[in-house]
Amino acid sequence: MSVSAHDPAQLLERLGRQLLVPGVELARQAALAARAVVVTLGGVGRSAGALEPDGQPGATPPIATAAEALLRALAGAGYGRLGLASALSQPVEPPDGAAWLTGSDGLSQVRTAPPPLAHVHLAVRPYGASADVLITESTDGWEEGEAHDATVATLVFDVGAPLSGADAIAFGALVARLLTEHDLGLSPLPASLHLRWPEDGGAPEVHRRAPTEGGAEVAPLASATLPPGLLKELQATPEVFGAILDHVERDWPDEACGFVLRHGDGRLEAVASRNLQDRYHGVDPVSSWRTSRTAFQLDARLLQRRLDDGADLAVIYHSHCEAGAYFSAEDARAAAPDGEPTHPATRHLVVSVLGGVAKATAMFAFDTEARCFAAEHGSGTLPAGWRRGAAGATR
Amino acid sequence: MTSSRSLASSTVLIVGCGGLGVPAAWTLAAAGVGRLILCDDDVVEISNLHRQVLYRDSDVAAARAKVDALAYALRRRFAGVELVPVRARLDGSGDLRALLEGADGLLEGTDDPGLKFAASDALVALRGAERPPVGVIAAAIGRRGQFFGQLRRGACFRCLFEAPPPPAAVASCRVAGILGPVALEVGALAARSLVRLLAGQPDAAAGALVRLQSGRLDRVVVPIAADCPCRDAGH
Amino acid sequence: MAIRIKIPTPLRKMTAGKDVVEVEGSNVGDALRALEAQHPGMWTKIVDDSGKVRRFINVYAGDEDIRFLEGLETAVDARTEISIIPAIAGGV
Repeated sequence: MSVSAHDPAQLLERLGRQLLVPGVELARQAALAARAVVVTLGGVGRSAGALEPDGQPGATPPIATAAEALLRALAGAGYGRLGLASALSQPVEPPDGAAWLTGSDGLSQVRTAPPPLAHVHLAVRPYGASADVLITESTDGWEEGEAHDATVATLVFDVGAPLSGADAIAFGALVARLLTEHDLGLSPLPASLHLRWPEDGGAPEVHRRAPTEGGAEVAPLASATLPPGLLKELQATPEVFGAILDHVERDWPDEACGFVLRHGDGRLEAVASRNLQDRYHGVDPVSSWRTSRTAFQLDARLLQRRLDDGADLAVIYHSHCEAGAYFSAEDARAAAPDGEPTHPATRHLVVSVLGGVAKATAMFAFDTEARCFAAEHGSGTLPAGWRRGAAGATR
Repeated sequence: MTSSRSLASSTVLIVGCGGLGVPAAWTLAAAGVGRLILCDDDVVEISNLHRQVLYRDSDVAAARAKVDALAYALRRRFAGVELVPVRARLDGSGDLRALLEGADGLLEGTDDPGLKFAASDALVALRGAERPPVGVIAAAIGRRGQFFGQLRRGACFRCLFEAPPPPAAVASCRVAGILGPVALEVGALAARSLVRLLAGQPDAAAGALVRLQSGRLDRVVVPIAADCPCRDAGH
Repeated sequence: MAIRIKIPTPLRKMTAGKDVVEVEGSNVGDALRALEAQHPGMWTKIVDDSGKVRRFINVYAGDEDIRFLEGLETAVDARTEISIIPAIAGGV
């Protein structure tokens, strides 16, 4: 007897036990076959130590085990197209029953895979939360969709210690369950979820957060109404714009932040700040539950010192790693906590960084009539002269 | 983990190599447990594949025994772990106790309620042994799951449930179905707790039932039942 | 002992436009309560219901955010300037 994943009768037999679960619709299940999910791994650089296996030379690092558990669970649940891109050379045996998108050159097949495509980024952290997950959804494919990528969920898995082999499969399975329950219409993905499993043996806690909680609204990119302005001027100032792109690429996979000053003579100056988010996360991982992977906190004292010298704050910039150049609900909450912008005369530049390469920029300002943040025209792409490739800046 | 050396010299008996046993064995191997005894009498079937994710289409085609297929899959991933496949259907606590003697931990993840009580009884019976084992007893169905951590003292599975339900009342995954990732998550979390119990670390499942329901995790501490036979066992 | 508190632009409408307010107090919490006594409403702009500094507000004692010190219990004297600065933050 041979087994074929593509024989409908065998597919039914393969997934039959799952279809018996109340609420799982056959049509939804069938739609999973067309769904593509790409998993990437992070935590490289400063937290590279956490990628090492638990004292077993040559063994698989926990994050790679978590990725394999996630991918196998998705393949089992009926997802038709799966891929794994990783800086690690750990090979993951492709699961049966799904087309494997990862070619010999990494992601070439993913780039051409038609949507719907979800991108799941798993990252281990040096301290605080053990690992975090970012799920982005692309409706336009991998390459062209930067401006339309939407972050669907941010998940934090916190067992009070670096991710270990004992945690890895549970972590991968949790992500698989949330994604599967979402795609089967059983339970929507929370905009954010913080699973804390106290090391002292206390009861596990799950905090879900709704997409918006106070703060200003964010207009979708399509409704951008602001005239071209600062973004165009910035892009025409190579030493300033180039410094920003270099900074956000250098700090990837962490978010980078900084600001642009306008001096009395009209000259623009880019100033890079440290991202203090991990420091805040370190002292209070519950209130500041995000890490620098998915959040930034600018050095306000640095900004104040520079403003005391007499310049104007023209732009605050930050990056989104493995996500699009959009103004997120979190960005809006921070920029206008009571619905009123803290810096009304300042614009916000967001740079999308995918795989360490700046892919798109967008400029936002508070629209005082619409009472929300809106994007300038020209947002969402990088002009041809600024297009960057894997080999570095092409300018 | 400071306990990795002692984990490497530990033996765990895994009863049931299905939806829970597969992720549990995978987790125990990834955590660095040195020796795993895998016990099951089934062969891999195509309807297992959605949740028993280390099995392959080729295992179905070859009608391979689950214990052999799982040992093969784990050996490929974790060269250091010693795997002992035991292809047998356990019957009663006597069989279980015989296999459990000399082991440090037990992970029960079958769909047979009778075996859950047998596992608990065997753990209680060995409380007087030189190195009594600890265990985790797990179950999952539909979108729900639970597991109970049984220590060398304190409440046993019979303190939680008096006796197995009548066979007709038991819905198994064969007929009631289970969402694949739920089994994976519950099995892996149960094994994660067992690793912590083996290492003597505090854990949510220590003498307590941890439940996954509607995407929420909660924990019920189980007191020793006044009339439970485990009161008189051991120390 | 007079402590100087620097008020950020968005909150100056509550201090009649003043960018610095002088108060008495030996720790940050006392100083902020004294600020509240002079300019009612300030406390709830800075501190949430659970008694923690609000999520997107940073309070500095000298050059350090009090979250990295003793929080509202952080001791201050006449040489320490307290600054209230809206956080510049966000994330995907």
